[in-house]
Amino acid sequence: MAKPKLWRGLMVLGGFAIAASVTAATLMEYYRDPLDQLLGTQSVKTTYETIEDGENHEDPWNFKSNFKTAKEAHDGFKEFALKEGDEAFALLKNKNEALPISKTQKITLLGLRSYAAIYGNTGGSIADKVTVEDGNRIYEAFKDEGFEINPSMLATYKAYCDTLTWGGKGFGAVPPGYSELNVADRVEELSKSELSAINPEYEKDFGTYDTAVVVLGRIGGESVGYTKSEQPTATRTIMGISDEEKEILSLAKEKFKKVIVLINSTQVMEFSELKNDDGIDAIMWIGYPGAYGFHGVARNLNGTVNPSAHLGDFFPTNGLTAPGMQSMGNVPWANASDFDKAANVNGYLVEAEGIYTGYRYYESRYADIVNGVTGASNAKAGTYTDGTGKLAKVDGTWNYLNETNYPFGHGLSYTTFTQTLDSVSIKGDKRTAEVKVTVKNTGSRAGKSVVQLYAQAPYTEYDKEHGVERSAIQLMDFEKTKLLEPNESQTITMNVDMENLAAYDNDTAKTFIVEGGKHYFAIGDDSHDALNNILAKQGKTTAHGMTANGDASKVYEWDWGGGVDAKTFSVSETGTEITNHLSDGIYSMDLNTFMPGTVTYLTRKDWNGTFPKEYAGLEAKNADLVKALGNDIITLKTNDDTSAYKWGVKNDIQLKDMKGAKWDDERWETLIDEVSITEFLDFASHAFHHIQEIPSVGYAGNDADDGPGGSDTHYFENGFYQGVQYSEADSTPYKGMGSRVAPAQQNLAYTWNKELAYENGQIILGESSLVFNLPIMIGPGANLHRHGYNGRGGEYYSEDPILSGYIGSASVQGAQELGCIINIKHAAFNDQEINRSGVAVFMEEQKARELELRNLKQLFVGGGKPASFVADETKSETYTEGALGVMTSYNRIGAVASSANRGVMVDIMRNEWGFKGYNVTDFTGVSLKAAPKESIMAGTTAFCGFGSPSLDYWSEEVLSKDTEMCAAIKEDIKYVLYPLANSNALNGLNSNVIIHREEVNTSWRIGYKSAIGVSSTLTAAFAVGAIIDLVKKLKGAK
Amino acid sequence: MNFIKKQSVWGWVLLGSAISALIGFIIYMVSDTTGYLAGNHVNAATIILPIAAILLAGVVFAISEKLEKVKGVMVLIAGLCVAITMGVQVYCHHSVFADAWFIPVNYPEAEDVTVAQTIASVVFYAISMIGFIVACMKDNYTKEA
Repeated sequence: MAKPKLWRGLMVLGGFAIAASVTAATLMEYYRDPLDQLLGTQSVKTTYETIEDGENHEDPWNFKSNFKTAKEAHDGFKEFALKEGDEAFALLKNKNEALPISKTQKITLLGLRSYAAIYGNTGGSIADKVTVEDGNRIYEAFKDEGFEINPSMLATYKAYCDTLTWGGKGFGAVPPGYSELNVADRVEELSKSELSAINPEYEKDFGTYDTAVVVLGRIGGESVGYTKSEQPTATRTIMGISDEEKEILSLAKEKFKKVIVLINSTQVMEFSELKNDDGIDAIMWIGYPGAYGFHGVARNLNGTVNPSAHLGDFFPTNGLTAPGMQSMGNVPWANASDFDKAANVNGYLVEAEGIYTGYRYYESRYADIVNGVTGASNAKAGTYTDGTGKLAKVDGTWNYLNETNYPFGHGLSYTTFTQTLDSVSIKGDKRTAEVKVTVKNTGSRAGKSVVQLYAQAPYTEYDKEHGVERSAIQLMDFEKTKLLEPNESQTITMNVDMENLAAYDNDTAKTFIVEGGKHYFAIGDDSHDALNNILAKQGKTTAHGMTANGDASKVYEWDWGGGVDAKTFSVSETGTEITNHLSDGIYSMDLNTFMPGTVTYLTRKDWNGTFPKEYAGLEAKNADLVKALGNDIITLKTNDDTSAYKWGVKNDIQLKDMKGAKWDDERWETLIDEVSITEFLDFASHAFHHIQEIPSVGYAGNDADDGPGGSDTHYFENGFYQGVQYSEADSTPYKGMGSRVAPAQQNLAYTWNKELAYENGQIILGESSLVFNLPIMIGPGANLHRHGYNGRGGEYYSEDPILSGYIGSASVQGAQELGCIINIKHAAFNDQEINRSGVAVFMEEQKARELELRNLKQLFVGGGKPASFVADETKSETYTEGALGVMTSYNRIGAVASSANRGVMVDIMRNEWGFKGYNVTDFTGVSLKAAPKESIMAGTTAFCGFGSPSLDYWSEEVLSKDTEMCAAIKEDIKYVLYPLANSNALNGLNSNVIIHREEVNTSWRIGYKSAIGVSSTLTAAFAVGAIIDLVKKLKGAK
Repeated sequence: MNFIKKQSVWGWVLLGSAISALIGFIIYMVSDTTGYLAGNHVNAATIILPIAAILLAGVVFAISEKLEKVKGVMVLIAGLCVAITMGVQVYCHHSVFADAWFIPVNYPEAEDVTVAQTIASVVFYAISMIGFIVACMKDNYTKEA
């Protein structure tokens, strides 16, 4: 009979439908948060119920957004982005005042990037695509600002780009760019012949639109890994100008009256030939301008605003000459396959350059040559440029001018300024100095000037004998003036933190030291100018090989006095002794700890002889090294007496009762005892863009989001004001637009404007946090640029620890003012994207302390308070609390997973810096590569992932039997609850306000419920049909 | 008639379903125990259910004439086993898909391989399931003598 068989077949189909819909339902609920972010749904609705108890209560909305509607939010973010854009582009060359051009200038945009401009990163801090598409593309912004644009050239590039894919797919933001052009192994540019093939008459309007604006660019973003291979053509490197780009530049020089070049890259491009080319009239570095940024570019070009940005990196002629470039990219362990794949062992970096990254290298070597240090100018083949920009193929002479395109701190203006070092007063305890500088606008246009204060400490015989390296020049502080009208002056008083002058002696003193001998403070237009001023004070001139004579009047000289001072900076502000934590033992960052004598570190004593090398082919055989790489360092105790620790106690206190509580409030212990280990583990394992609920303390959970540039996955239609969704959510014209609209982080640093960075923190991070109800924003990005090939450099600030540290600190403080729990990323040493997850980063502790950690410390402790804030009574409550959150890095610190490296996480961050905040891993989940038990014991409070721990010790049953683990979990719970209680996570809550979180029937929930219902019903019906027919069959047989 | 010639089209469909399930099973086991997931705990259901399906289908194929009363139910159960296996298997490997989707710039190449293997396994199971659906509806697996 046919029917029973039909029912059987349909039952199998129904069974599949049930299995599929149940699986889909389970996974949708599991990934509920990112699904909501992807689809713009809201699966949990939060409401606030106020209980009238007749008592006076404070306003529960203690952190207030300035934006009550979607329109206000959109307009507010836009206003800030435009404001930042006005200061974010550095004028590098301006021959014969070629700029500014007329506001109504007729221009021809040349170069593929003049149409397919790079607005932001391709991953991480992506510029908001919908905003760009809303009339803010480069040519639209330029037109808006008054330029007339060559239509035939525009049409030619458009015709080409119309064959490409605009945007793309993926979770979170999609970049406003053409996906085929997002490549890092070649330069995408159209040659003249290719342009002719598209439009044979592309040149026809050149005569009318006679100013060429040539845009050259390189993409960047999360996981973009540039390599250092030299191209086998006229192109030097991937950062050098390609053959096609040269064709376009030649075309511009030949056909146009004026040629302006825009450098649309946060990678350090190599274009020194343009600096020296008389056919190029002006060069402006624009980095990644952001969604609205090309308005600012146009306003800088046409003089509406006066350019005031300065470079925050040294721009070499050829980036391959940087010492840090000798060990980068993929350098695999020779025996990586010996390790468990789950441990994530891949490669390593030996950062033998020490402190000599960026300008520290080039300026120090230059100073030694001027000072006649023997051998300082001798250079091996491949370590210097040959005068044409290519790596020299034979041994020869190192020459600063050959090596340098633009120095750190360089930036021009349309006006002129004078700066006078008025006075320097070093306080009695030598920990601070007051420095006064007067700036005067001596030109004819209003403008802002940057005061760059540098210092030099002596490189002494002690240093040489004990392996302490000293840079010949280092940035100590900086300030930006207000807008000065012609003839207007401003005097700025800086309170300089003298700890940043100290060098770290990891061999002998094992702490920060300063020594007797002549020290110098100097101001200058850039780092090289400041150094020349110091050299002039020391009696040097061009006769000694200086590039220009300096101005000794801009220098203050003093003697620290005494011998080696290993006391003044040997104790932190928390009272913790500062000593070695990264030089010995399993947490060491010095590879020589594990493989004695392997690494020779670069030293000023012998630039040429100690120039770094790659150290390829190393095998990890040392027992400690193997243990560290295996991510299984600590053995858990199995039968400690842990009865003193209380878990899951029903005390009568909730997290909202601790709103605003201080760290030393006695009630914390009572609150913490309410949390069980199981609850902590559940919290800790669900941290992918999420803050898991903690029911025992009444915390209902929240979303979190990336990133430094604003919310990755939330848009204005999802905005809230005090718990109520924006009323025009369904009809807003800003649907699909978000907060990622400001220029890149690197652009912000290049403004050298602490106040602007503070405002960036308030708006981009803080307001994003309030508007989208995201108490945690994963940003700012603050790793240092080790070299110009990082790929993700645009999401970080600078190569210099003070510029990066103070800009980052300002952003943190601004964000925290609005109750945002920032997660500084990344701690620490994320120096490249290649192998970023698992790469072991090695260096001496001096480099670690003086560069990356000095940089990060400013963000953690609230360093670099702007001079204007110090002078302003209304700002006295700012910079009073350090950062309350951090995200650790994918890379290892030394050989140990970053989150598990006690040297950095506990000894330095928690103890020396007093960090009391939330500490989350990057997207590792609870897996071996994050060394979870070691990480918890090193202060990690959460693991970015979706649960599903893959380790068998991840249970209350196991972890509760180890005393140290119990103590660590107690601490970690406080590191979670304290920031939550002092953030906008508790906005809207008081002791008389109850929060309700209700599950909402979203479209996807309705979908899977319907699918389960329908498939179950049908399958049941099929089964009934089969049974009925079978019964009939049996009856018929009888 | 020899055994081979005795089999009807639907018998071969049934055998094909079993073979497709076997291929899917092998691919899944490779993905779950080697490469990115090497050392992984294997979910018992992803072993028991497909093996049950293969064995049931194999027995029916071999001796269907002697299983007149129960062969339909056996093939039904085999099909359901495969259907459930697909769901369990996708659930077990969801984290590798999540890595590739949520942070598309972070995961190692080996994870890509695992994702591809999981998809391939599901495809073979899907083919198997379709075969079982057809085989359920046409249970004359041997030709009339």
